[in-house]
Amino acid sequence: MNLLFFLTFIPIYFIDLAMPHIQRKTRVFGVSIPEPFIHDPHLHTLKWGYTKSVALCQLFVIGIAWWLIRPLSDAAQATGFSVGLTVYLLVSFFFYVRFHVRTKRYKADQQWTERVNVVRVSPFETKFEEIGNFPHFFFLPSFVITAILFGWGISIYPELPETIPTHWNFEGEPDAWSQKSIGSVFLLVFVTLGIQAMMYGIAYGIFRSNVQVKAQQSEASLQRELDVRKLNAMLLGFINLATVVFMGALFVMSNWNMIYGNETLQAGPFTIAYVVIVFGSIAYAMREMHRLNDEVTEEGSSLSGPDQDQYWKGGLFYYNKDDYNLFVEKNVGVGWTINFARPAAWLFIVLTVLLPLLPLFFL
Amino acid sequence: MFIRLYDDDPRDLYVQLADEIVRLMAEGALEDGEELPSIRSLASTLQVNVKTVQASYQKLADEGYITQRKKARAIIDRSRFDREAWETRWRERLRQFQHECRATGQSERDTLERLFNDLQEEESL
Repeated sequence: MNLLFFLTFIPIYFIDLAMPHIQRKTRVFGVSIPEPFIHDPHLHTLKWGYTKSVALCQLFVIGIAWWLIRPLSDAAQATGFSVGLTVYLLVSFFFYVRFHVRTKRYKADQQWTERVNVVRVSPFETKFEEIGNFPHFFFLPSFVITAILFGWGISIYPELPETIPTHWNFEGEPDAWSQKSIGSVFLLVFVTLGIQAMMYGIAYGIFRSNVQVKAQQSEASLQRELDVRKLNAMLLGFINLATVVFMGALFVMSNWNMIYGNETLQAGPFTIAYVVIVFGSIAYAMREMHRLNDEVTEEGSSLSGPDQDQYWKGGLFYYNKDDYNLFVEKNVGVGWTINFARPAAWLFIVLTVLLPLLPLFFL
Repeated sequence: MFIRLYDDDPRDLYVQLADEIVRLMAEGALEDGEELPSIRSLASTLQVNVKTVQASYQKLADEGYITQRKKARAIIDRSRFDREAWETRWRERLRQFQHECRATGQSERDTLERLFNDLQEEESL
């Protein structure tokens, strides 16, 4: 049963392979590439070198992990899988570092920073009419559902037994119980609320983060920035809704079971549907990002935006005191990360870690 | 509507930025009453220090192009445009132009006319 965990390697494996080709052309393995050189053939070679190396090596890693973990007992398998996943991620990281160094060296050898004319470009609108306002209504249905779940939970509260399950194992059988209380009964709902608050905050933060316009093809670049923000807001809203529906289904099922005697959670089909839907939406978003990142830059112009290498520590961590944005686009891959120079970023990390632990205080 | 600040431009950054905003006004892209971006967000997108944008906005306010407001974005407002100070500034610059013409044997009038015609042509392109 626990071997189903190996299925998670599939999306990770393919996303890893595709990533250098999906992300922005001005960033290659965490190195800023000046705009005139984004189509340099050697960069193409580096990207495919990464894809091929990782494809081969990680297949090997997965194979060995499977061979080692399969004969173990159920409990040992879970641990074994965690170890296997860690090894996998470390190998990926190793390849990233290797290609990061190669790219950085090539950039220095080619003297790209000396060969460009740097120009800082910014749109001058106060509001972007095209992007419109943040789609708050995307997040409304999930809050409504949460409210309904609360209401229903309160109405059936008296009928619940004094001891209720609070954790289920992989087969859907309860393996931990608690005294009935607001905290234990509504645990799932509280967690869902926390998730919604986080998703809403992140979606809004990303939507309102300042754009970074390229020196060449500035109009198209600006449009790309706006489209990326819209896409992210919609993706997060969708995943948020899917999550609330899924957790809500679990909540309803577990309480229903309790009232009618059966304590086993028939969560299987719901879980599969949820995972498929979420991964499907992420795959769609990645395809869209690939399309949005695939613009063509005019050849011949020596103009480029200011180099970003100085702000990205190790190519991975953004630290820029002069940037008041909290959220910025990732340097490696697709997605967003935080500006560690802002105190709010550390607050964000603390909250993200603590918020899921909050329900424990109610138990 | 884009602001472009070139690194190889000899002018100070804040002067460049102020000039760019005046250019947008000249192109008719900015009208009286329109709000300017907040200082922080403009500094962020241009990747310059907040003080640079502050200096630009201050220069524009002093010269009578914009009005800065407390707790609100600055707005384009040419009602208090100081024409006399503006003419004095240009007079001083033209004085320098005159010196250079005399020092190098250029005709002031001819040069001015030629440059003016060139600029007119560039505008109409």
